[in-house]
Amino acid sequence: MKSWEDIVNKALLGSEKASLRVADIPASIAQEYDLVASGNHEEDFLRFTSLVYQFRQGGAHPLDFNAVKSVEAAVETKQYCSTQANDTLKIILDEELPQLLYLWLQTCASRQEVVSPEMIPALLDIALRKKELRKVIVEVTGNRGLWLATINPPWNFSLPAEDAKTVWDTGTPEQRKEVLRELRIANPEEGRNILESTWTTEGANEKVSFLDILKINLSKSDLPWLESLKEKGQKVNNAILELLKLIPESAVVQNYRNILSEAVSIKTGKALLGMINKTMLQVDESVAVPDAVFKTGIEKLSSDKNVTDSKYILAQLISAVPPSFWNQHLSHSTPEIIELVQKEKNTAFYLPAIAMAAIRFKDQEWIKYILDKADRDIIRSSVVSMIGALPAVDRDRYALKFLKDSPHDIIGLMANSDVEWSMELAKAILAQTAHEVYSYNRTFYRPVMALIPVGILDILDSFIPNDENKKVYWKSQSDELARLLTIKLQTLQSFNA
Amino acid sequence: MNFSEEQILAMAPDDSSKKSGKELANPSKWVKREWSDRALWGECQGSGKLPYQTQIDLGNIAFKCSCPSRKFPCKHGLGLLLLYARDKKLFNQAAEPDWVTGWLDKRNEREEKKTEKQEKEKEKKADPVAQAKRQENRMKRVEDGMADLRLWIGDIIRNGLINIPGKDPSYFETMARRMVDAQATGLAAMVRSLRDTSFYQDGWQTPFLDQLIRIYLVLEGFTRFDSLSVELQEELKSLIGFTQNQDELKNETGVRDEWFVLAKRTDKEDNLTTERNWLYGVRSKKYALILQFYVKGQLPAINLLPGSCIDAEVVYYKGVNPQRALIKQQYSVTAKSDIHGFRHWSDALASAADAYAINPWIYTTPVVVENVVPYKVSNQWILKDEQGNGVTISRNFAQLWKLMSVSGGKPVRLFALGREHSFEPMGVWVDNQYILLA
Repeated sequence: MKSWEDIVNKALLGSEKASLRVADIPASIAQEYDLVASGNHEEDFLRFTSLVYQFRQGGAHPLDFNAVKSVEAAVETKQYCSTQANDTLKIILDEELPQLLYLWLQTCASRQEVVSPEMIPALLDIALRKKELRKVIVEVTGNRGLWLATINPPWNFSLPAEDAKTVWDTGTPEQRKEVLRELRIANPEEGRNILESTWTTEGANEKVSFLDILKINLSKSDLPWLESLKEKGQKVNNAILELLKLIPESAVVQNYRNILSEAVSIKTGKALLGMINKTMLQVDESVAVPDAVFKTGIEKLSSDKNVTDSKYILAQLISAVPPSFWNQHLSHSTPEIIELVQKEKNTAFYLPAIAMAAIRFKDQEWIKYILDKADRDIIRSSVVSMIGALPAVDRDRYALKFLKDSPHDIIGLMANSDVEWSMELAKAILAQTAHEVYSYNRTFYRPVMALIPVGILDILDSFIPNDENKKVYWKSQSDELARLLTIKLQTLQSFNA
Repeated sequence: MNFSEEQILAMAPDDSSKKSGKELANPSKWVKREWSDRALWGECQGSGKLPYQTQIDLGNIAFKCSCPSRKFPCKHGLGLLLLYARDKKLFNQAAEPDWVTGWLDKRNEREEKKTEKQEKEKEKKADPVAQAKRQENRMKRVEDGMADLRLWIGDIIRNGLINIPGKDPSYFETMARRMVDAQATGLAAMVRSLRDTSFYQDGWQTPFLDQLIRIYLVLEGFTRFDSLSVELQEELKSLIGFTQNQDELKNETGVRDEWFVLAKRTDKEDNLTTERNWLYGVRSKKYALILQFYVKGQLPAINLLPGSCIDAEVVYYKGVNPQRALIKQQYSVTAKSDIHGFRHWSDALASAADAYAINPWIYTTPVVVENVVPYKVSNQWILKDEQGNGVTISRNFAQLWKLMSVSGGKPVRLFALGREHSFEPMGVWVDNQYILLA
C-alpha cells in the first residue's frame, strides 16, 4: 500500500519536518470522511494515520502466488516405523543419547522402514554435524528427506562433493587431510598419487601428517614411491621409515629378516639318553648386525640390566618382521613355533616381541594363536593390544578370557567397542564395575550402555558390592543404568511391535 | 488429572531440579507408589536411613516432602508426579496413610479460613458508596495518565521514529511505570510492547507505528467513552487495564460446545508463566482464547492438551467480538471431531476484515484454511491456497522445516495466527492427525 509507505517515511522524519496532509491520504478515504486538517501536526498525523491503518488492515487481500510452482515429495516406497518407535526416537533425541540414536537408526534402516516426517528435520540437522551418520539417516528419512534436501541444499548429502583435486590444491590443512584420508579409504593409489603430485611443495609438518594418513591401506604398491623419497629433514625421514617398516616387502624389513634368518634356527638333538628326538629353537645372539640397521630406529643399547644389548637388538628386529616370516623360515606351523619359543626361558624372552610384530602387521591368526597358546605371564604386557587388533567377533571371547588378568585395561578397551558385548562378557564386566563404584560411575555407564545387552536388566540387582559404603552408590548407578537400558529395550521392542 | 511432562517440568525451580526430577521418574527409585482421589504419595529411598515421604495434593496441586531440600517443589515431588503422568498403572490405589491425611486436612483447614477471609473482604467491598468513590478516583488517575501518554506519543510523532531504535529501554519503561501508577496496566503493557519491537528486523517501522496507533485509538476512544456501545466500552476498559471479575463472568451463560484445542503457547517472564490456549468450537465455529497465569510451584487450573476435544461451557469476556474466554465448566473429553476451515485465504482475510471493522485493536486473527501448500519462493516462505493465492509465513516461525516435512509439498489443512499478509502456522492436519507446530 503506497500511501502507507509514504506515511511510514514521514513518520521516520517526524511531523515537525514532514507533516501529513489531507492530500497525502488516498482521495477515496479523505472524501469519505471529509478530512480537514486541524493545524496540530501531531494530532493530524495520528488521526489520518489511524484511518489509513484501519483501511490497510481491513482491506488486505491475499497475494498472488499463481506463478509459484511447488513440487510434491515422492510417495514413500518403504513403510513408516511405528508410533512407538517414533516416540522412542523423541526420547533419545531429548535425552541426547547418541549411542542409542545409532542403534535406533540402524534398526530402522535394517527393517527397511522410514521415520515419521515430523522427525526428519531434526535427523537431517544431526547428519549435518555427524558425517558418520549421514548414510543411515538418508536411508531412514526416505523420499521426504530427499525432497527436503532439494529445498535446503545443505541437507543434500548425495551432492557430488567438491572435486577432491580442487580441495587438495586450495583447501585448508584440515580439509586436505580429510581428502587424503577419504581417498586412501576409497582408492589408496589415487590418494598416494595426489600426495605425490604436490610432495615437493609441502612443508615438513604437512609431510609428516600426510605420511601418517598414508598408513591407511598401506601396501606393497606404495613401496616404490616411499623408497624413492630423498628427504633432508629428520622428522620426515623418520615418518617415511616408519611406513617402510610396516610393509613386509620393504628393503628395511627384508634386511631385518636376513639378520634373523642367520640368528634363529631349529636344532634337533637327542634327549632322555638318546631315546627321543628333541627339537629346540636356537638363537645366536652373536650374529653380526650391520651398522646401517641402527640407522633404521633399532637401538644398540639395552636400558634393562637383565637384558643384554644383543638380546635387546634381536627382540627389536623380531618385533619388526611379520610373524609369518617364522613359518617360512622355520618350516613349522604357528602353534609349533609358539611352543618352541616358550619352551626355553632363553627363547621365551622373544615371545612378546613376536606378539608385537603380530599387532604391527595385523596378523590375526598369529594373535589368536598367541592368545590361545602362550603362557599368560609371558605375554601379559601385550594382551590388551592384541585383543584390540582383533575383529569384533573375536575380541569379545578373548576379553572375557583375560578380563581377570587386566580388568581395567580390558574394560577400557571394550568400552570403545562398536559391537554389543555378549551376555557373558557384560556379566563379567558388571561384576567387576559394580564393586568399583568410584572408578566406574555414570560417566562410564552412559556411553557404554549401547554395548550392554538388555538382558542384563533382569539380573541387574544381582550385582551388589560387598562393601556397605559402596552399596548406596551402586544403587544410584544401577538405577541410571536400568533407565538407560529400558530406553534401549524400548528401541528394540518398538520395531518389533 | 492429566498433566503433560512439559507442564510438570515448568514447575521446577531450576534446571538441575528438572534433570533430577526426570531421573527420579523411575519406578525403581520408589519403594511405595500410591494414590487416592485426593492425593498421590510415595516413598523414595534417598541417602538417609529412612525413605523420604513425598506427597502431592491432586485437588489443588501442592507438594510436600520430608527431604531436606529447600527447593520447591523438590526433585522427589517432580519425579513422583512425572512418573504418575507417564504411567498411572505403576501406582496402587490405597487408603491415605496418616502423614498424608494430616497434611491434606491442614491444607483444607487453611483453605476454608482463606475463603472465609475472602467472603468477609467481599462483604466489606460491597459498600456501593465506597466502591463508587474508588471507581471515581481511579478514573481520574487513568485520565491524568492518559493525558501524559498523549503528550508522549505526540513527542514521538513530532520528532520522528528515526531515533527510536537507539532509545534507552528506560525511555519506554518510564512511561509504562507512569501508566501503572495511573492504574492503567493495559496501557502500560501496550507501551512495553513498543519497547519490545524487533528493531533489528527490516520493516520494524510498521509494527511500531501500528502499536502507536492502537494506543492512540484507545486514548481517542476514551474521550468519547459515554457515546460508545456497551461492548466497545468494555473493550476499551479491558485495553486500559480494568479487569473483569471472573466470578461474575462465570455467572453468565456461556457457549457449550465441543471445543477443539488448537494450540497452546507458554511464555515465561520472571516467575510468571502465561499460557495461551486457542480453542475452536466445532458447532459454534467460534474461536476462544483461554489464558492461564501461574507462578513457579503452581500448575494451571485447567490442563488443555492440543489436538484433543473437550465438551465444555465457555464464557467470553465482555467486549467487541471478544476472543478471550474462560472455561466455566468442563464436562468431558470427547472423541476428536473433524473441523473445517475457510476454503481460501480470501475468505479468511475477508472474515478478519469484518472483525477489524468493529474492533481495530485485534492483534492477531486465528484462522483454519483448507488445502494450503507451504513453499519457499526465493527467501520468502509462503502458504498458498488452491486458488494460487496466499500469505507469507511470519519471519519468527521456528518450525518451518517441520511444517515442510509433514506436508511434503501436499495441500494440508492449517491453523494459523496472524494478520494481513503474515501468518504463523500453529498446527496442521495430515491424514486426519493434528500435528502441533507451536
